[in-house]
Amino acid sequence: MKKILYSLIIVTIASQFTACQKYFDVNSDPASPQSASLAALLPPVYSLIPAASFLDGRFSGNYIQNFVATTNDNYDFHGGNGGGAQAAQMWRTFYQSQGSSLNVIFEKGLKEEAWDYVGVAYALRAWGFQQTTDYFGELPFYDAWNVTGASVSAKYRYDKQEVVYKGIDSLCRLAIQYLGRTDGKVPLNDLQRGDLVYNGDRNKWIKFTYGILARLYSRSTNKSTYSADSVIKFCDLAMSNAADNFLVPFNATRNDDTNPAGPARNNFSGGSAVATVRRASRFITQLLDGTILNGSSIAANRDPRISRMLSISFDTSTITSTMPTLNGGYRFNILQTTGVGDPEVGATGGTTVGSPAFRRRVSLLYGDSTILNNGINVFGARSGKYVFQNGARYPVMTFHELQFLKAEAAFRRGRKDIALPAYQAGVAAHMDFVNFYTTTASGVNAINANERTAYFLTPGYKKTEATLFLTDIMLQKYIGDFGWNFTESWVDLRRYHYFDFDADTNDQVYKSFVIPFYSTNNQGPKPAYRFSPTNFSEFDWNIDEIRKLGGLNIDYHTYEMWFSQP
Amino acid sequence: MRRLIALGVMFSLTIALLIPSYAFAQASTISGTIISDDDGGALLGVTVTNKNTNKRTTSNEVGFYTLAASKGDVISFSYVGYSLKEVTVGDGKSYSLRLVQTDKDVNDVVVTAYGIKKSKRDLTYQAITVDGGEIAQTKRDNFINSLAGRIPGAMITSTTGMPGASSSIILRGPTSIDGTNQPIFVVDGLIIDNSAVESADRLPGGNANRNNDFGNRAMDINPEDIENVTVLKGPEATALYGSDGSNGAIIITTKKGTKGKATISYSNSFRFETVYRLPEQQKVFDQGSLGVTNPLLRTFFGQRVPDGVPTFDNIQNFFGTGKTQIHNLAIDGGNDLGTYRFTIGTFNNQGVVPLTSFQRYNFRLNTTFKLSSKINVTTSMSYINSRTDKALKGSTGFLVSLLTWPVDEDIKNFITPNGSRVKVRNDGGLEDDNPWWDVTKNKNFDINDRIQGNFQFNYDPLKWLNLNSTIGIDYYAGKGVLFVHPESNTGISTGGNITEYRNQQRLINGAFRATIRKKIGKFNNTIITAFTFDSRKEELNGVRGERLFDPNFISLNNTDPLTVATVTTNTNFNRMGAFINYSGTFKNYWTFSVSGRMDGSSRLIDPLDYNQADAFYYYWSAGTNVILTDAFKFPKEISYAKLRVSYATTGRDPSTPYVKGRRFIQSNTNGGGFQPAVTQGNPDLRPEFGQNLEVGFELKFFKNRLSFDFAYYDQKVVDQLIAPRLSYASGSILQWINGGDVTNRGVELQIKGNPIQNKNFTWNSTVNFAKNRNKILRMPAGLPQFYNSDTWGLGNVRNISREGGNIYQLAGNRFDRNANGDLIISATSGLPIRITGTGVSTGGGGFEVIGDRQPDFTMGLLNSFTYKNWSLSFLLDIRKGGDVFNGTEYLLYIRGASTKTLDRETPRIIKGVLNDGLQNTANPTVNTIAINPLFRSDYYTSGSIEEDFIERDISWLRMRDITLSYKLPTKLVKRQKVFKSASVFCTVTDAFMITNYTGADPSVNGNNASTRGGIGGIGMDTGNLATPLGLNFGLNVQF
Repeated sequence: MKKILYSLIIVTIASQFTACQKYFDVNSDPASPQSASLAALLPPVYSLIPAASFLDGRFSGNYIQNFVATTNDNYDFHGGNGGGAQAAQMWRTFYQSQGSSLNVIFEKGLKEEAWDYVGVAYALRAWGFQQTTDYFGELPFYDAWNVTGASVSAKYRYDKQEVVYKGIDSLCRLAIQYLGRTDGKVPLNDLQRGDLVYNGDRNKWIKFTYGILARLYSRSTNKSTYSADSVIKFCDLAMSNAADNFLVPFNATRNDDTNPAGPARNNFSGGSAVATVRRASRFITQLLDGTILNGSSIAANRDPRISRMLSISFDTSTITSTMPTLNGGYRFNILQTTGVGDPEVGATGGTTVGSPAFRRRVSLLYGDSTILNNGINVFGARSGKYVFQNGARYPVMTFHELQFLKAEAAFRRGRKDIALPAYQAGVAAHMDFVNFYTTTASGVNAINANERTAYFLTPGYKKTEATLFLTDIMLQKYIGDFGWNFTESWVDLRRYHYFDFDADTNDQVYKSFVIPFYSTNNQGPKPAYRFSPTNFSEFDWNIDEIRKLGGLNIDYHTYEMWFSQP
Repeated sequence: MRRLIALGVMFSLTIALLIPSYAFAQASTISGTIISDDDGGALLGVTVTNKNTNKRTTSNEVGFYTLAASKGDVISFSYVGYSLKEVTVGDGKSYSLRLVQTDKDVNDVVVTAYGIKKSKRDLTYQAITVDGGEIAQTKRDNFINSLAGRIPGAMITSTTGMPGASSSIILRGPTSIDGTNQPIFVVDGLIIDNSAVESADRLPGGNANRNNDFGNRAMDINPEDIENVTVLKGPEATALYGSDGSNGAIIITTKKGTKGKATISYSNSFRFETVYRLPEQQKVFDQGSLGVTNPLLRTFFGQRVPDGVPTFDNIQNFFGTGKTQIHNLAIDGGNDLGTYRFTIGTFNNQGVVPLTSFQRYNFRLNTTFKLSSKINVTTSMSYINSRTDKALKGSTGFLVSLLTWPVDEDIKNFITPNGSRVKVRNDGGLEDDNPWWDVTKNKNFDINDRIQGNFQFNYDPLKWLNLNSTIGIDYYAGKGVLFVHPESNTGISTGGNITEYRNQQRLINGAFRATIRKKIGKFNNTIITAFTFDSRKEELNGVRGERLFDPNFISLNNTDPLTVATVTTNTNFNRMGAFINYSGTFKNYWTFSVSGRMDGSSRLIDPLDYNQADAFYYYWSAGTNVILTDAFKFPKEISYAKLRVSYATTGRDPSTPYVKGRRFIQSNTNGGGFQPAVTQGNPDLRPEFGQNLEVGFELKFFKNRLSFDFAYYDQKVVDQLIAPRLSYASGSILQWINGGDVTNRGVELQIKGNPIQNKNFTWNSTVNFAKNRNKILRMPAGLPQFYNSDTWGLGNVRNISREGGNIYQLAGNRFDRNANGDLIISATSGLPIRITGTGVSTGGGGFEVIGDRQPDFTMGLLNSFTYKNWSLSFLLDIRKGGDVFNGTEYLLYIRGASTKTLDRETPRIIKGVLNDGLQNTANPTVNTIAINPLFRSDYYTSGSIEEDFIERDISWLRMRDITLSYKLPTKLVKRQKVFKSASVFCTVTDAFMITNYTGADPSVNGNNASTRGGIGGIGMDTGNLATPLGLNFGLNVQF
């Protein structure tokens, strides 16, 4: 009896000991994988781009006057984001959500010799650094993602923007190098599995990377090191037509797979991060209705793109004498302190549908009059207008943008012979781009050949080298970037210090761009040059670096960027 | 693995070494077994003294003793709480006897880790025991609440006063900034689950563990089944429990059957509850804004309510009388071969909040079998079914809405004849729901089915060897539903929604233990060695659907399939441990004890780089005590004096599994795919270690009629396992790291007195006192601060951990002040300027330390009197100091519903200087902007700050429970043949509270018990119902 008992106990204990191997091997979560395949890692990486670009664009979009809020708005007055939750998306996306995914792609891609994935990751990392530094200036480059050991230091040293720029250059070259390698261990079409944007076409990825380099080299127009030839060269190596455009797709069936710029997500109004409602600005409306480029907004002067990019108000007639020129009902918000009472503004007035004040309201960008707009939480790809559709492919980089970059560089190089065709190609490509979105939106027709021809006849569209000026290129670029390329537009405006003069025209490069009011925090009429990194990341947990930069000063956002300084 | 083998070898060698000494044992000895006369249970630790030779020994776990003695020697058997017995040695060698208990309160055997029984004399640490009867007598739904005041150094906080509310318990003080600080619960030697559903991450669209409360599962225990509860706080005690025990252990021993004829006992209790304390609502000013009455608003900044307008007592019209019925039936009996005890308990509580309730059905069978003279088996089985119907609390819960309900609107008018919601305000229904609507339409309930089983096998193959094997299982399946009606304020945007969870938790654990007791010379040696394992599996499936087809039908089938989201959470881990403990007693007055423990935890395994050695970690403890009264001669007034010191290190693995590796979360964006989780694992994580010292003494005077049990402790946890927020540049939002040191230092004292003791009248009194000082010595990774976002519930108030501060601190915004300390006043509004979370001006995110919830000290005062057949006992719970955030008042204030806004007709100038650029110069401009708050609602809204609602140094004296009972006289009982005994009682719980807190109840939790880290939302009172006053009466009979 005793013997049996003893041996039973010993056997029980011993079996437990030998079963150790299996016993402890339960530390992987059955509900979420501990590892993911490269193809499964890519899709979220893409979707994060529009989320970051657009959600932060809600704030930089006011600086650059893509839109203006209906009530007094800090960003309209070029106030800073103060490191809060606003304009915090790019920082978080780049370092955390997209950043951590890309880190895994590097790690796995190098191990598996999936060079195409590595190349894509390098390209996206370069893109991310570019966007992030252009918003925030100095940032952790070398210290980023540097977590080793159980007891980490919470300090992440910031690097100067020129260091970051050099880093972006190197990252792009690495990307091109890896994208060109065909000696990896995975099949050459493997990238196709996860690539929602280019369907695994490495050449398009290489072009995209050259596009990043073109943007990068175009930044230094104020510097002695500026090389227009490099910009032209990179533009030529980048996107050669609209088929090369980097566009992120959306299915628009529910919140998470719907374009953040679309009506279902309703990010222009309400929401916890946005207290005010953004509507089309005077600047973009007058660029398109002919006022700025052609001198008046009579029908003949209007850009055919206006009806495809902006939304018309309920009331298309002239209501009062304060609205001097009929432009077809494209009302706009103007930057002023009150925002009430002006028929061109009137957005806050009249909540009763059908009342004159209501009808005079400036439309939401995704259209609340002529365009079928189902509104919040109603999904469906065709709802909305232009890039502001639920299912619109969200642009990240386009052929037309690069044509304008090329035109600017060639112009600065004194090669109007290159600049003019690039400028014209840019305008034409942007019209195609606009038409690309009309095919998906409800109730919007494409720009037809007649409309095009008519526009090309207007004086604002330059047909000769002699009449082409920098201002023409930059304003067309602004139109081309409207609504999606917020960072690029902001870089441009900052490069031209918002109000830089064009000696050739004896006018501002950004003709008629005004900032009548500045936030008191700016301590003078100083426009915004940067955002502060979010306090959830930096003010709370990495404050020393912020302090070093002067980031605690209330006018920190007006500190000029390295790239815009001589 | 090699270490395990080594340990096994060590263990065998130790046994081998001891066997020869047994062989040399002397023959001229007497031996025997000492049992209690009451229940026949073996008495451990009875002092057996040969009065002729002065040789002493103590009885072992099975009551056995051996002692050198020759014929004619007088042997005394003494045992605290029992009458002394003396025997003269005759011819025989065996002297087994029964001792008669004299003092039922003194239970001198303490059940320590893994069911190891130890004589209290030999403990090197403090162990406080509470009698089960006392706990049951309070008739509370969650027995943890009845421990408040009964244990020095236990901070017990009920989340709310609603039925089925969770309760948190922290012993001595929180050591972990981010991990759990809850002790483990052990029933009959085995750990049971005490988790609470974590809703922030585990339920789709879940809330931050603030508004909903899922109970804590230890509340499934039927208090009537509890024999006693021992609370182990001392390091050496809990070290044996390994990782789980580092926060202390609540050791519950259930009642077992007693030998003899079967007895049936039945008890019942009927309870009536009423709301005891409520915040006040001002009834002078009407709804409106800026001094203009507007009945469509839910802010109360209008004109005075005109005379003659009919008003309603809405609060009265909402709360009801809570009613509880408790019935318990127990059948127990047995013979020499075995005993049994079968109990059925029902608990049915309807709360003071309409339609809230808590129901629990407990079935339990405890049996003991004696298979042979050397083997006995103890088993227990229990089944528990419980259901909680509850209302949401917090800033959007029913209470805040009730307190801001317009007095001229009848709260009972909440539903239109066609079933629609009646709204006060014209904002599309975004105002808070009418509480009646809320509780009627928004159904919120949990159901749990739980089975526990426990099997103990006890074998004494040799007189000096005891083998014990215990295996237990704890399994439950739960379901919870939160239904939000499409017309409710939180349901409008989603068209109504249903969140449902189902969880299954399975815990199997066991311990195999060998105990060797052997006397060598003047040393009584005990070696305990054990192998333990603990294997848990939990699966929680949370599903949420929106856009209800039918607004009232509660089923996920009633939601739009396109909106359905699910979250599945698995929490699996396996642990094992082995320990060896040696304790020796020299001449029966000096004891020393050394333990070593090895733990293995799957939580320390890197899933992608499996290395078994990673799982293991080691620590040790040592302690000693001297019974001075036995070692030296003392005046006769001092009956007992003991000094004790113990030191222990404790290791702890991460508080959740899967943090060593990376986790990928499913993406709902185009093309799906996976993304690394926001909380990143860390393959380099090490276990955290505590260093704990306890020094104490026990003193008893006047034949034990006055006793003191004092402990000083200093505990420190270094290199904590923590998942702090970091700069996103780390690639994560939260990252698991090791770092940060926290200490708790404090004293605990229990004084027991028996001032009066005579035939008819006795008076027993216990005083519990505790004082703890917590300090964060070092923050992890040099971080400036750490906070738990769950606590960030209202305004900008949240917990904060900072170097040099303590875990109890609260952070929030402050008004801006100049260098001189003057308030800086906005030149445009005339109101002070809040330094907000933008961080620009403060560089700290605008969060400064604004409160400290750590009490100065806590006390419990327990008195019981018996006079003939009457007995009266009461417990006073006293707390001195510690801040409380009165969030409810803050919410009422900013809505103009607080009585503190009644002085609004008095214009005023806020003292301060203007922010005109001169504020920091020598001559700042003094503010002269007059504000008439009647017309300036912003005086109360943007002009107020949460800091002003942190009430300082809150103390309380609360009558936790008071019981009067009467036992029917024996004569009376004997006249009939139905009852053997009978008694009736009346208990009032939470009879009154005297406090300087202006709100309702300072002892509530802004979160629920599932919030990890620090002390959670304790002392954050936002929309919490105070514990109601309850009147219980009932009877106990035995057949």
